[in-house]
Amino acid sequence: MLSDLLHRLRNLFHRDAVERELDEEMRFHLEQQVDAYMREGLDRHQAVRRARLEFGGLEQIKDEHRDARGIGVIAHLGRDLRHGLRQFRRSPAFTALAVLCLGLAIGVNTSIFGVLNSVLFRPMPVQQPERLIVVSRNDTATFSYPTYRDFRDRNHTLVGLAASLPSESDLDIDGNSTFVAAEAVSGNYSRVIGVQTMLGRWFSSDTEPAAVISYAVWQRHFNLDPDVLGRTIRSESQSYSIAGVAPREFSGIFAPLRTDIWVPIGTRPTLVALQENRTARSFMLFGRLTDAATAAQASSELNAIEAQLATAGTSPSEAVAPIVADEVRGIANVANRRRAQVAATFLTVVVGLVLLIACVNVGNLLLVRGAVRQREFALRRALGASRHRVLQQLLAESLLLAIGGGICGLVLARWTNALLERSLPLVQGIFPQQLKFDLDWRVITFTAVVSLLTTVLCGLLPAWRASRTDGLVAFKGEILVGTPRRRPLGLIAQVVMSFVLLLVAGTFVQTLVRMQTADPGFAVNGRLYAYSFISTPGIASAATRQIYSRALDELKALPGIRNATLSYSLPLMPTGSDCVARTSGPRIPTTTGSVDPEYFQTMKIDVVAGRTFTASDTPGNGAVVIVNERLANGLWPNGSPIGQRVMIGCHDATAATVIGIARNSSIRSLGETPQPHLYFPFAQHFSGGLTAILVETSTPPGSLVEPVRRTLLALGQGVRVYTVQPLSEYVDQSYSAIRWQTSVLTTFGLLALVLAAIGLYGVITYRVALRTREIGVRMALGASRRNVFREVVGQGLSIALIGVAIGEVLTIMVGRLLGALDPDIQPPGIIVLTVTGLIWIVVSILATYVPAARASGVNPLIALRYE
Amino acid sequence: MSDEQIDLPQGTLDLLILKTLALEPRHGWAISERLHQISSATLRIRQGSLYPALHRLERRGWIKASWGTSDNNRRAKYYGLTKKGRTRLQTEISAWRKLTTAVAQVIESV
Repeated sequence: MLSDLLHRLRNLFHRDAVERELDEEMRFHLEQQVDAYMREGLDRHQAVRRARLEFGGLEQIKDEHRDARGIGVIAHLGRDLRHGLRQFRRSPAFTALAVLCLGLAIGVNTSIFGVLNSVLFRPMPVQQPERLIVVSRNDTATFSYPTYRDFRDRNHTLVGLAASLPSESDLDIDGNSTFVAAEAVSGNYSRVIGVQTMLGRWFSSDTEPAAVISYAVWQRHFNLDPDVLGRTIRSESQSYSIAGVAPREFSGIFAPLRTDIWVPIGTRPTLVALQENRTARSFMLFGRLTDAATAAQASSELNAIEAQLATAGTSPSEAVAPIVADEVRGIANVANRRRAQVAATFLTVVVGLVLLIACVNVGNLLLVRGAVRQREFALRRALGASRHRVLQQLLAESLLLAIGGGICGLVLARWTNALLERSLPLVQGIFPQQLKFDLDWRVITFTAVVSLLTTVLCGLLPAWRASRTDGLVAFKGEILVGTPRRRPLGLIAQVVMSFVLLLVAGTFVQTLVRMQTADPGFAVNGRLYAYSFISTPGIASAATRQIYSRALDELKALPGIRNATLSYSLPLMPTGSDCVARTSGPRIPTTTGSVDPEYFQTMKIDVVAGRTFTASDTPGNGAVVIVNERLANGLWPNGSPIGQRVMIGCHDATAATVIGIARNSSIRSLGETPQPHLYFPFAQHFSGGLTAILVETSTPPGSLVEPVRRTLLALGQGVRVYTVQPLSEYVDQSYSAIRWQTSVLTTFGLLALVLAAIGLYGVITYRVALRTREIGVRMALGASRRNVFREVVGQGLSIALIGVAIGEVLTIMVGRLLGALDPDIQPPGIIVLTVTGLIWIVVSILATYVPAARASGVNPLIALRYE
Repeated sequence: MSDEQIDLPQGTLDLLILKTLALEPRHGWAISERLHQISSATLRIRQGSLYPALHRLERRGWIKASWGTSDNNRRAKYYGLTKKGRTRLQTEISAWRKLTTAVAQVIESV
């Protein structure tokens, strides 16, 4: 294979040398033959003559050689491409339309592949990224610190194993506090990950009070000041000295999400507290394979270590899924990666359909052109071109179109990528995360491959058909075109595909509308929230409680504020998840939240049975919880849970008493079916960190944003205030993801609609042109303009109707697929089905209007004069 | 040119060329002369088929070309068998034997 290719390449690139050698070889042969004949007794003149005759045409032989040498196809390709370029220059409208169709489709494909690339394929920009692994089990990528220590100290397949805990955190520079993405990491992080600094150094111990900042932070907050090293910053109540700046291309192991600062695990008291806790599985583990080891070997070794520990009794010996070590590519967190994979695959299918539609379109256009150019092909065949050559020439022309489309697509993708990055919703809530989708070599290769594929997809059938042109028949004065099929499959397929895409978009619109109109189950209007954080070093949680109590009192004293309360998290963003069970019985997974007594009243979530929390539910008194109706039903389908004991925890359970039932409210997303949820009293369940203050106002909440912020800041004592915002705005942002998906899918759906409509228009126009004479005859025989008009529109409409009918049947499948993708999405309802169907019917009438008008305007006299 | 010359069946030319090269590298003319000789003047290869065939074989990596000097001190292109070509020759020979045996059996049976 390779030698063949090299040989061909040599032949191609050293054509002159090769031709010279060939010449010399032929001459040698001829002269040998002449010598031989002269030895037989012929004189030189006769010998030369005879040898020449026998030898045959020198040029002809050389030509046969060229084919045998395998440069025929490539040499012809150049000629065909030049010929194709001339052809296209002669029909710029056709060319522009075809290139634009392909360009749009290739562009969106490139763009979506760019996303796919950055979430699934791209290796980290570190040394030897292929040796970097992430450890996971059953799609969870987090482990306890003791497990980390065991793995780190006992393995032989890894150069090193690093622990990492990403978190939303604060960065305090000279008293100005901002939200950042922090990563608390073990001291061996830089060695294991294989990342250097562009300035300074990485910290190398678990406890050194030093931090590394990202290039983005260096730029944003320090203006790229080279004297930044050694400056003091604060984060989560700790002081750090800046040890280094990470390289520009390294935005953290969690790319495409960015990380802003890295600090050693041992500098965070909350994390030090976890270091002996086997049940707190909080740390992600990254390892670097030794040169001899593979990821599979590392996996089995880690499993073996765990098995040893289980027999030794140091690790819980429940039956658990095996541990897997995977190469880090795209999103490092395996669970997130899987989720992203589903979404990205879905988007890929969607844009793949758009590409198919565009291909069918261009294929149709090429068919039409092929029919018109039949006389040209007939001439070429008559002049001795083989069918193969004609086919090759036409494929070369579609290759040109695809190259044009590919270049157009790349330009477009740069632009759509920027659009995607900008329009992406705030990822995971409270602070805007910048995503980056680059056009790297993978993406460009992808575009090239897609373009080539397009050539074959849209060019092969028309080329094959055109190459069938019979040299003789086409000369008989008229263009022969096979009677076009009554119901062209290509067109119907296009309608089906674009209809399905519209339907998908419609389903998302339907979901969005449902979310916007759904009753969240908690009060939204007239509510305000503030995220705050107390950043005083070494403050005890009792002191924190006191500061917050004062904060609430001062807020309540403000004019326009009715009530204020604390919650560890906002609705629609549960921060805790756990398992809950009766003292005997199955565990039910549930989300959890810690709230102050007045939360239920402030948020208008009624406690329908039992009591709410009170000020006496403190750590000293017995642990109590409130369950929502859904959880109450799940645990005690037939009885009252009030006063019952529950066990909370997925591994090591602790007991608590149920004291009340709260009404169901939206937990994760609006419009969801009720989800189980468990409330802890804030006083018993507060581990520090970011806290939401919820405020009920009697005046429009927007006007209170500044007073609330000022009041909180005036408390001093290290109180930091982040977002302060009316709750309605927050709720609005909570479905920004689905809104984004909806707008992306609607864009693709409309793009597909336009492409398919262009296809319909093109084909119908072409058919009308073919049938001009027939229409003329019919009109001469008494058909009215109206009849003709109706018939042409009817043609388009029948294609659309068949397509829509097939599409509607596929709906069930599409609905199920979407449901699997995102539980929030419900199958398309009757309104969506009707509206999408109607859109297609209207579009098909519009697309056929122009050709129909042209057909009905045929002048029978002129049309018949051709005869 | 004798009347007894026959057309070669499709695909046998490759076999013949490989066989003539089994002993030593030869140039094109020598190949055609050698074939003519050892087939008792029954086979004469047209130059128009010989050279394309040589280039085809070279492309497949069965023979390798190099420039050398001929007996009469002229520069000539010599073709020699490669390792791959040698294996190929064995396969082709055994395939040919099978074919001829089978054909002979059929002919004699009727």
